[in-house]
Amino acid sequence: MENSLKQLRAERKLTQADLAAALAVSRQTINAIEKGKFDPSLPLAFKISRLFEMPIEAIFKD
Amino acid sequence: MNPQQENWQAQQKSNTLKLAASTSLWLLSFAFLSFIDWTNTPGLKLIALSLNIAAGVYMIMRNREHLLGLDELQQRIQLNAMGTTLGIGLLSFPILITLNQAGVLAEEADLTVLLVVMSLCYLGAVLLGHMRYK
Repeated sequence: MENSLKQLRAERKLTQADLAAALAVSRQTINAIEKGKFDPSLPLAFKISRLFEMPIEAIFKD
Repeated sequence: MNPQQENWQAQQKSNTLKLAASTSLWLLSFAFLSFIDWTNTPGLKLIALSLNIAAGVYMIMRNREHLLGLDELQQRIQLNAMGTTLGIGLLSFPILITLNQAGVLAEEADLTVLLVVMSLCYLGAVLLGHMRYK
């Protein structure tokens, strides 16, 4: 699954650590999602969606 | 850092420390159990055995708490490592028994070797998991 997390994070000038802090996960998890190595669960995808105030399908693409 | 992340990180640290402490406690109770002479002091041995079982149950509970406190990627790494370890453990057991019966291994070494194999396998699988998602 592709995602635009890295781009969205860069636009908001957030570091991986900042994003990890906001989502209560490890920085490793953010890095793995950005690189497409790990697909987040639905609850985490919803948290990301709420944080960026965008629908899930605008962030994650199959 | 927001309070939610501070709480999460603090909880993870606390869970890890509790797991380390409970594992140390279990090891100490096991050492205590191993060094008691069963024939001369059966009462003391029973107390040591009870302590060891109680420490073991406490360690299992802390381990469960530690695993549940991890985030979803860390949980996946742990699950993969435990699955690999269980599989290798199951495969190794009959091989070790066969080697033991053939006299290749020392008579009392079979279970010890299995524990060492499973521990190394678990450590290796956790490290590989972290490298995979780096």
